[in-house]
Amino acid sequence: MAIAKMRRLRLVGLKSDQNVIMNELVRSGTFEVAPTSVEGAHPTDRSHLDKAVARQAKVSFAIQYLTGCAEEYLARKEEAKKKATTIPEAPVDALPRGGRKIMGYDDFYDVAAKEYELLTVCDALQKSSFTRLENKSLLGKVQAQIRAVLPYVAFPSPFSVLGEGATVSVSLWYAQSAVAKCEFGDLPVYTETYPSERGVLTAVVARKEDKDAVASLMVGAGFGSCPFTDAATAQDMLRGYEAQIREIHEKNTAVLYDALHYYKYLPELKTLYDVIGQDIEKSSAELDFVTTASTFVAEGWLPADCAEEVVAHIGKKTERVITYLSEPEEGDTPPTLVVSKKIFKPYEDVTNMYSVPAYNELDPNPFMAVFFFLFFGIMIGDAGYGLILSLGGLILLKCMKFEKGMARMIALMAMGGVSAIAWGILFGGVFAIASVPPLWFSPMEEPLMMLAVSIILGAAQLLAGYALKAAKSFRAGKPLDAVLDSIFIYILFGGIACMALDMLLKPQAPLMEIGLGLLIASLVGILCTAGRHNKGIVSKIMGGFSGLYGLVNLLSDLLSYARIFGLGLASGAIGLAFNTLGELFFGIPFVGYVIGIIILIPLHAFNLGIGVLGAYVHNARLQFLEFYGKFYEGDGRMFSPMGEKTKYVRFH
Amino acid sequence: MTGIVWALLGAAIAVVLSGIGSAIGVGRAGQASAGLLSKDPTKFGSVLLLQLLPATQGLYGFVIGFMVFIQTGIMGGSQVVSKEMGLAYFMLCLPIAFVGLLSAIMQSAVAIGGINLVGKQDKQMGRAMTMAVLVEIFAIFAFIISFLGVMMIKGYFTGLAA
Repeated sequence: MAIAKMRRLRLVGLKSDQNVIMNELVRSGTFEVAPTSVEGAHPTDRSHLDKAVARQAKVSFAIQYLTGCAEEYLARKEEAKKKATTIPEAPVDALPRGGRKIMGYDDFYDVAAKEYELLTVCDALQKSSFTRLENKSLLGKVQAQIRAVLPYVAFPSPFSVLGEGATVSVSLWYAQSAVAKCEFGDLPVYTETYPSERGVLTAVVARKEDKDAVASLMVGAGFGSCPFTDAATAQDMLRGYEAQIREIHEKNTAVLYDALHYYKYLPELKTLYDVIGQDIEKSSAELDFVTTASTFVAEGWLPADCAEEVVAHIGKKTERVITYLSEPEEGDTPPTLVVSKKIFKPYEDVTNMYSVPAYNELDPNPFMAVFFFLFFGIMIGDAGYGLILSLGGLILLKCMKFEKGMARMIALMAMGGVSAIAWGILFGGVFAIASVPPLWFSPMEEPLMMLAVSIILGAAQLLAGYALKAAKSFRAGKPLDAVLDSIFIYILFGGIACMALDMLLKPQAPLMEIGLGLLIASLVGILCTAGRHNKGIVSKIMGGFSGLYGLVNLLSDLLSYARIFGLGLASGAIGLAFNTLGELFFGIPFVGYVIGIIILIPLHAFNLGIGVLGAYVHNARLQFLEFYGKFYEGDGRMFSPMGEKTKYVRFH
Repeated sequence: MTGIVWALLGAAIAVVLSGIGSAIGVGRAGQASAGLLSKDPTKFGSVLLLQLLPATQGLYGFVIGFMVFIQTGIMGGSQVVSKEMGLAYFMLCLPIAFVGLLSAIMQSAVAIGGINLVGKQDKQMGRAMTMAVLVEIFAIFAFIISFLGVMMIKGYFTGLAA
């Protein structure tokens, strides 16, 4: 339960061993590259890296193409199923779902060894995709031709009849507008109009010498001349084009099935993507190394407790290597690796959402986790909702595989559910049913008590925050600050507590006087000490007053905990209103309870949803602003070892 | 006006104003969501959540209106509501009515910002939600005051009478 100590590894090796050494470091999963701190030349040859990037792009394309083909096949299969027909089977199962595949390093490197074979597959797939693209453009061309010939489909003769004979000229005209009409005046012409879906299709027979006059009149009326001169009718041409389309579709399907033969390689291709990804990560890290003609210097961070072991492993692979392990020096910024018990892991993500802990800092997660757990429960405040959260979370985690972040989020909610069960029993909240008796008190009937509980819990968290601030000052070797910055706050709260007890319990002891004494003592203390770091007597006094003024902030921090009270009551109140609404239906004979419960389930689900959302966000806010504001530094950098940034696989 | 009319006027204002706020809020956020989805339809799940956030104010107003119905005996068990009592119910409905109206609209402004943020950066969903939910607390405070008042005011008047 702490932030892991880091060691800086400096390693000098031979270039011929570079690959072996780097593989060993990646395999350990505990090495983060850092810029080298020695002077020297960096390698300038980027060709290996560039080639790797190109290879990865090829694999990425193959993965996308294969997935696209499989999706198309499955869609076709689904459609065929609806029409109660079948299509030829292809070796494709349902597409894989869920997060990254979990595998061991041995399987991973097995795939690396098959890279040559897999890249051939990628080439074949690339070719296949080109063929499909060609088919697609061909299809587009034929479809354009169909669109061109479609207006003339009602013309019964072959297009070759159009043109000039010895004395007459025959022409065919089409206008897009359905009302187009041409007046020929005195010109002796014969026209024939054919049915057309949208426009007007007209054939004109005129004397040869009137040809130009007819053409200009027709164009003026919005007609266009038929461009076809084929010896076939429009119908025949259409039939020909349709046959072509069928042929293209058949070819396309054949290519699709051919591509799907490679579907079995998809998992390996995905692994290969990450294999090459690791190579890229390694190569780009190597560009930062300092090199000579035959040696290289690598530097990076390792967690202290496994550093020796990793170095020993490297020593086993090659003897020609020199390693130094050293503690972080002044000015170094080692990465932060939080090592905590499994139960605190989900809470790390909450902290990281705000800021990653700094390397030298006390791990805040265990302290924050306790309060987060408590507050989440009160804000939900219902044992029924809590049971759904914890049981649902447990079942999800047991039955399904999730990525780490998602699994932690679910665990966080499930734990919050446990807390909600406890508080729900204390408050008598079970699905907001009014008749359940509380074990302690009912917040709806005694809202003042609820407000007091919220504020007292808030005071407890604030005091914990000041205690951690004192601990931080101690660690930094400033015991005086540790005492002076916190002790008066404690005295102040003690005084207020005495006065509150006196008002509530009216005991015989002179609690009020003691409380007042403590209060004044703390105020005087703050006035005298808050400005101690300032120079000059005037600014020391000013500092004291500004310390006193800072208490206003403390008050607003404390009142901020009223949100626990607000959220806790709100979900209960809405639940109660929903129940009253549901009860209206219970009166209906026979089916009343069924209808009521059917209506209540989605309503409560909605209430639970907004309750959980509010509880999570406002809880996190209390931790970030009110609690972490007292002592937390953050701004650390998360430890990110080489070989961890994979897309499709992860290692167990 | 008689007591019951004042009480019902309060219930109506609570439902109407907070409902209008939520309708404006969810509507505006919905327009922004649709704009984002035209570029990236895969983000439907995330933007739907953001769009729905300003919907809760309408719910709070509805619950207050409903509770006024219950307490004044509209839903059965008719009760005498004196003019003072009716005015008291009216006053108690005002917090959620006004805070609901304005907080829903402001929350939708933050939600729209969040929707744009999610459109540009996938991983910022958590932060976008956090920012928008923070506006909610003021509606919750108003709701609690309205709710506790509506539930308890009857006891105060019977105490006075006794």
